[in-house]
Amino acid sequence: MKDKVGAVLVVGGGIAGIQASLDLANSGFRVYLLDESPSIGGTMTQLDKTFPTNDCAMCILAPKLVMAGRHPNIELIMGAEIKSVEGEEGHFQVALVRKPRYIDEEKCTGCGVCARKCPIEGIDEFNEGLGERTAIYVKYPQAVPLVYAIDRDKCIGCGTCQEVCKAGAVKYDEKEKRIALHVGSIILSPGFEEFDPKLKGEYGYGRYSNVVSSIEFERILSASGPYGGIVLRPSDGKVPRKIAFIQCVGSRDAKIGNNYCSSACCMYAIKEAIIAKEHNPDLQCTIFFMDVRAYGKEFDAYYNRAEEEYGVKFVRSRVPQIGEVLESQNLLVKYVEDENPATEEFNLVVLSVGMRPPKHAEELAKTLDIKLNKYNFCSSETFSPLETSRPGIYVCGAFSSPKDIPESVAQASGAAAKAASSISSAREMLTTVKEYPPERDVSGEEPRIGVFVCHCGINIGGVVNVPEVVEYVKTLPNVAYAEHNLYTCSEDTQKRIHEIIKEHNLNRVVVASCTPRTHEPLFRETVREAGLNIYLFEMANIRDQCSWVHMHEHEEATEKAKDLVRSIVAKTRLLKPLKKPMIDVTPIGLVIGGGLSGMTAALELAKQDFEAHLVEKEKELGGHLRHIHYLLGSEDPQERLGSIIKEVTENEKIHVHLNSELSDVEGYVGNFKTTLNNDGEKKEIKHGVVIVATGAMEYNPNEYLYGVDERVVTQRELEERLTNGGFNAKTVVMIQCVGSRNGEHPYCSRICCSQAVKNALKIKELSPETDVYVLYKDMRTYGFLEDYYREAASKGVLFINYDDENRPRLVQENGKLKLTVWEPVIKTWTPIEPDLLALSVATLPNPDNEHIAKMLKVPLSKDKFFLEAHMKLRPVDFATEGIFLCGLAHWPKSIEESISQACAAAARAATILSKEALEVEGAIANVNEDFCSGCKICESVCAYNAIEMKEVDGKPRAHVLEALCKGCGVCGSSCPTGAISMLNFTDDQILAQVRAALKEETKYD
Amino acid sequence: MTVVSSAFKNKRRLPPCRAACPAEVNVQGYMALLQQGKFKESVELIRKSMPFPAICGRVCFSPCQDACSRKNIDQPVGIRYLKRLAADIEREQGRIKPDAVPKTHNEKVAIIGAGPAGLSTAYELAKLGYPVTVFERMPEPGGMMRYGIPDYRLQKYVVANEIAYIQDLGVEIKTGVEFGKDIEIDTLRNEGYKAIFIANGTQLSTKLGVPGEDLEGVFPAVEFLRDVSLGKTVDVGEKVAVIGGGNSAIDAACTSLRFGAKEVTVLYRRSRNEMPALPHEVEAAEKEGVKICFLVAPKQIIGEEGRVKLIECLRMKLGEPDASGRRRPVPIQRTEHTYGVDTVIPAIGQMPETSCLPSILLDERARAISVDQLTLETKIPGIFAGGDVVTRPASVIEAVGAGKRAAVSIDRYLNGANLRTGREEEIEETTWVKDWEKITRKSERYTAPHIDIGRQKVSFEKADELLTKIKAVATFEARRCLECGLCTECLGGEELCEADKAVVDETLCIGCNVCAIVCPFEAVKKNETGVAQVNEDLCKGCGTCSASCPERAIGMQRFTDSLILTNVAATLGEPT
Amino acid sequence: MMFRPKIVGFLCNWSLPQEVNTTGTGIIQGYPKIRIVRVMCIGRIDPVIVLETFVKGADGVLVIGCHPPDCHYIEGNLQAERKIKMLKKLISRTGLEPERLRLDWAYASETELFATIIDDFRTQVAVLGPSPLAGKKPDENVLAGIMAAKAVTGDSRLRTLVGREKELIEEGNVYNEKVEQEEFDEVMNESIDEEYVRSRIRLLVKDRPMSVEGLARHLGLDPKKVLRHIVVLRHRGLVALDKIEREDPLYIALEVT
Repeated sequence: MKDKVGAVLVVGGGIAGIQASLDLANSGFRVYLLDESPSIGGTMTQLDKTFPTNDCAMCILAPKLVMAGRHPNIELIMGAEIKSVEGEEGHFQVALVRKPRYIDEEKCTGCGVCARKCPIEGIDEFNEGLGERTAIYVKYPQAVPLVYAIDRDKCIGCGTCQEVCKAGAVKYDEKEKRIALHVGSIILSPGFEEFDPKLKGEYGYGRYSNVVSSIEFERILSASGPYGGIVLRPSDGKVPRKIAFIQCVGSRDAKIGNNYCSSACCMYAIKEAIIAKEHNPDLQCTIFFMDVRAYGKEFDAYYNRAEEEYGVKFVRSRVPQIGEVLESQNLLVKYVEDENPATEEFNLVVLSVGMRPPKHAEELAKTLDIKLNKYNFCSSETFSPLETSRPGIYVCGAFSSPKDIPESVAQASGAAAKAASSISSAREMLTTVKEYPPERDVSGEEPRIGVFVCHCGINIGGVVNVPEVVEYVKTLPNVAYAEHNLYTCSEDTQKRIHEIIKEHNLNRVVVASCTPRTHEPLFRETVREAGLNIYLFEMANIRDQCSWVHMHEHEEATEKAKDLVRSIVAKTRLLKPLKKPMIDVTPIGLVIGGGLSGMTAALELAKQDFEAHLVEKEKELGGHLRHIHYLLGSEDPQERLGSIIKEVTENEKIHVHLNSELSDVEGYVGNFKTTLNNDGEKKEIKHGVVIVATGAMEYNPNEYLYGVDERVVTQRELEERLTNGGFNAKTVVMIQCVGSRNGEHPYCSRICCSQAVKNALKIKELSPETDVYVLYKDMRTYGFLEDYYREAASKGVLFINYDDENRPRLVQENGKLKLTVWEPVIKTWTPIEPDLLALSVATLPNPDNEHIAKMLKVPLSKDKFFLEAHMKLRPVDFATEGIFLCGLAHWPKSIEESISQACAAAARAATILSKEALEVEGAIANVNEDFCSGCKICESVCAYNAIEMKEVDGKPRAHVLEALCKGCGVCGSSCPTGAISMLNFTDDQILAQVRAALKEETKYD
Repeated sequence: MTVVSSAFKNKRRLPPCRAACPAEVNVQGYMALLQQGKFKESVELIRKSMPFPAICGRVCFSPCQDACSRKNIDQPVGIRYLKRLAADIEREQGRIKPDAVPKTHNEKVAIIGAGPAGLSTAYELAKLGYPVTVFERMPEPGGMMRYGIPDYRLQKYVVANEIAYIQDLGVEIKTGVEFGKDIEIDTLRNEGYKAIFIANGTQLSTKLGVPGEDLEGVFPAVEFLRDVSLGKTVDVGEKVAVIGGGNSAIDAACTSLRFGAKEVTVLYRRSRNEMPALPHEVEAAEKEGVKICFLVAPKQIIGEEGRVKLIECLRMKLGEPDASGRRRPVPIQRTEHTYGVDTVIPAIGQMPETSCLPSILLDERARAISVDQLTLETKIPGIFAGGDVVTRPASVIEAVGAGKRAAVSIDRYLNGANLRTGREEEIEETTWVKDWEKITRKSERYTAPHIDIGRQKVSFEKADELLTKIKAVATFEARRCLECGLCTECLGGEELCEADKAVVDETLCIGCNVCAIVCPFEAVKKNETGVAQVNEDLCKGCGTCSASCPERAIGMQRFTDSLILTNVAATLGEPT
Repeated sequence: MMFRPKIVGFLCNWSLPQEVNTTGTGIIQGYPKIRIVRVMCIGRIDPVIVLETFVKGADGVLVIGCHPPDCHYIEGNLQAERKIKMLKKLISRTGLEPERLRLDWAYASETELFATIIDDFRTQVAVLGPSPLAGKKPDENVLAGIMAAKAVTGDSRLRTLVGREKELIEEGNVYNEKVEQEEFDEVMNESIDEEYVRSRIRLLVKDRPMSVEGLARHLGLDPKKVLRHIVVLRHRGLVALDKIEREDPLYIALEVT
């Protein structure tokens, strides 16, 4: 058999595709990241903030974009689509066609002059048509790659862009290009398409100016959006006082064939309402919904805050129609409240549009020979949620089902693990490692600083008198050389800098140009190639912080540029070379928890050729899954469980430790040492990473006579009865949210609604005459689960909504269970006499969590589940490096979600395990032990657990764990004795910079 | 002392027409003036280059026209016609009498021969303020212009008029003085002439070299035409054979017709393509009835009673090209045939009369004066020579060119300057047109009849009307000029076009290149830093770039926006 | 008394009849009906200059160049033709009658035609009556329109389009396609509309902040469109949010040098 190809094609450059690419590239595979559009980033780039943390979407996404854009083993192929895929798992031959961009990606510096001078305007799709862009454009300002593209449909071919492009990047004769790739695996992450709200004619979208889609509203909210972050309505630019959000537009709608729930809309609508309120506290927001599906981690808390803190009004009603008031262009929203038809006037209506499969899904499926489900999303199975119907091709993100960002990210990492494991033998076959010349020893040398000042085309040069700045810079002490460049970042300038460092024997380099955020790595690379330590390089930002903000004050801007460069030169004088410490990695993983998640994670590690220790405190593997006997789909969970356990136990690389618990963990990323306690017997394990998969437990209710009357059971017990033939009830009532969404456990347990639907359907299957009532607060059958909800209803299962004021009341009367239920439609308390009452009980965090968290020094959320590094973009990471998370330990979740997350944790772990040694940041905290008083303040403020106390001469002294320190500097600025300094940002360096920045001003004083 | 290597040639950029003209007449310049209807000014401009606008307007072989770029599009501009017209209008409206140029030099210069070469030298030196005397053997000055070209082509009064202009400048012309007889080099030196220019031309006819050449009725063309010019009546009989294919041959043929010949045949040994005579003259001659036989050469002239009777010829065919580049005629054996003739006029060339010249001046074969090709200096310092005597028979304009060069040498010689420095030139033809295909605008040449108004018997009003019409036609024709040369070419100066130039504000220029697109002359281009730069050589100051620049980064030196707006305000009667 | 329009004629150096004394300016003998301003070529006529001429109170502006295809500068006259075409479209949006601007052709020798053109244009302008911008009290609305138009013609977008028009249509664009005149005109008309309105907005909010509604009322436009223009102007850094009054954000122009 042929050798496998160590490269992966990722189709779709949204957040999922980016995450998958990064994980693969960081664990030794070459990645081709393909997208139809000219830039990566997908829908997330258009979002303003993200729920439930209200992080700025762009701010958290940008670093990943930059990482993907600069990664030596990720090749971005923009504007391309797949034409054919031949071959099989391990070696696919993929034919791509790349549309002409008309811009040389190598040459374009992204300076944007072309767009400023382009005389042709067109609709700005990024701003959802609310503004204009030019025919030559970049999708959004932080786009990666930051390369312009010509919209051939708009362009009249006047040639202006080519003329004004000083980098010579415009090439009109570019033709469609055929590309042939040879890859081992393929990951599909093409995302989704927004539902076109015009199809819901009754809402007037497209006819009424003030009816906007939720994604348009994201742009309206965004500070970088068309309205500069003030919420305005499009008809007249007035600030709206009342906004209505209409949910389920294009979702849960049989009329238009989109029966499924789009999973994310409830949350984003709540978020949009909250953010709008934050913009304008007087604003009244009303959300018209069917069920509020706040099923994710911390979602209900967010929902509650919206209602209680922000005063967002929630109205449970499907809106049949929207009308417009001619004069004011206000909107009349018709709805039903308490069975009474009502009409309310709003200034603006936001339609929460659902997710549709990507536009070319069918074509893509045909080309790749994969199956789609009936909604044209990618088809997958419960126990293989990341696999398509064709081996070697994996799926993640919204293409497999509508989902939010963290789910997509987890799936992406999971798919990366899958893609990697099928070609793990080819790891590092196609990746490149760069060789550098030895670093020159500059110690003892007088600083000789070279300063390169960038014109950035006319971005800087058009405002700042760059040659004047250069002449000025030459007068500064220690500046041995200064020059100006049209684009300092261009390829030929890199060569030039290299030569000049040699020629002028420079030992420090300053580039005065744009932002280090995007360009520092490039210049560091250049100085490193010239034999200088990367920490001998500094940047002065005279574009974003000078020419762009002082566009019309040429002289003042020139003076400010001088100030900025002078201050950076002052700091540069004091720069010292720093070492990037290398730490060894033990290529072994430790997985805590032998349930489905833990076993999956261990298996994935083993498939990628890493050893894994699987620690289970029970005497057998399987966890919760042992109690699940059937699923909503057709798969047999027990059979699957059996085969998974078999696979785990038979795998030589997996060491299963049953009846074992952790008694001690020490060390850090790459080098952990864990002591296991196996019934009192201690065992020491060395490993490089930890995956926490400790699962959760079921709530043991004390409500509704549970434990008192045996006709009151939990859903799990009902499932047992339905499986074992002990079921013969004529009337079954299910009560949702028992132990969830209450004062004690305010969160949603996520899986109970679908569990209830599953069991209700099972009852109807076994005993169709049995009456089944489901008493619920919100039916949270998100995604394709909605189909089962609909099926249950159609089979006669009665779903009755209750709220906290009108909870069902249960009494035992004459040996019978008597339940009184508030029937909201007829507004009466109605009695039901169930033969069986099934309680959908909460999923509670594992009580061991606190103990384990302490050992691992990782945090728990306030609900006592483990708290990941970042809820949105790092769902399976902890802030502490080398420790990962999956399964119910993170949050209640389904089998598919657990498997995806487990794979994700394995993928993330592989990014460390695949390396022989880790290079860590050199600009980190440094303790002067003579000054340290051992007060431990630093230890307590460090978010990364990177400081520990060590005994030195019998006294506790702070010690920095280099591998964990991120160099943020919090410890240093908190240290009462000034014992901690931050390398590369020492007090001396910062003060020199400040003094130099102020020098000229004090002169005038 | 720095030795200037001849490798460093003086490079000049001229439009094709001017580059082609031996006298470097500024064609583009007077075209520009004619476009504006400035006829007198255009003649003045021609006179800056040479003294014979009317003569050249008639008889020049006009290399300028052959070189005219317009031929790449449709037809060359009718330069010679325009020159003649301008000069005629000027003359007919009353001869311009220039003021004599004050003599600012003491060194006297003697010129031998009042032909075009001698007169041009005299003209140039007189303009420089030298006292110049021209010695002419014949009774009237003008040389071949006077005695070689028949009146119907070049009227005597035209020649006289242009020579009078030279005399008005202060040139003294002594006629009837024969060099080698009345004066010699030594006598001139003794009379205080510091420099001498010999331009006595070619007075002798080249012999046919066939039997019967001495028979009565054989008139060499030079003598024939000279006699005619002198007013002598020549009886040519009824049948005339002219041997040769040059202008003299055609002139002799046509003149014969005017003297009553019934049948005039030109016998030429090559084909029409090789004929040195001006095509339009040949054409005109044929129209008048002159017959031309090609590929025929005389073998002998057969007489009867000492007078020509028959001419026996041989058929020729064309062989390999000879030194002149023309294909050599080769006789075809046994093709002898005869023509009956009353007169034979050989017109196969002329030779200088070298007997009057010191042998030191002559070349090895003693057939011409040997000179330095660049400076026209002979082996004797201070003595220069030019024109036909050096080059063998050539054209008026070539003689003028030689005269001008001699004048420069003489001026330098008299000032003790190096005669050669900086004179080796390389002429680069300029044109702003890069792709002839792109110029789609075509126009046929506009022509109007030649006119000598004063000599026509028409009413004053009618003449005036006619003149207006002709001027209009001439203006249109002048507009056909593509103005290939640099703007300064027209020497029109500010009175003509304000000599405006575009100026780029480099700080505003973004390099969009619109200026280059709208500039009809490719005078604005981006430099390597992507900033527009005006090539002042090419910029003609129209201002289109300025009015089109998207960044308003281009202004004009003279017609600034504010000047125009000031003018606007002034016309509107606003206080400025 | 009959109205005597003040007509400014921009004449090219080469079409100017000989009889006209080209030195100096002002009313010229023989042609008392026109005030002639000579330029080397009408290609020099910057649209800004034409508009400024109207601001200065001209009742009509006549531009005369040589008959195409003749032009001393090859095609300066044709370049001017495209500028005038654009200008007439632009002027028609300002409230000033576009008929007050005319481009015509004459040779220097065509003295009679010259006189005919002037008489004809003069009659045309006389029928229109005095320019709303002439006199001591110019019509403020028209003046605002012309000032806005002037700013537009000084700005790069329309100048770029006009500058490239001939090439795009006659020689083809960078993709070697000839652009249809109709297609180009559509782009041009759109650009004129957009830039004119934006320019008006900028001038309106130069000294005092205004709301979208206020601007829309002033300009007689749909507020929705005005808002879109505000979006563009903010993006270009030409207009900024000043403050929010009740429901209305007020915008103000940013100082641009």
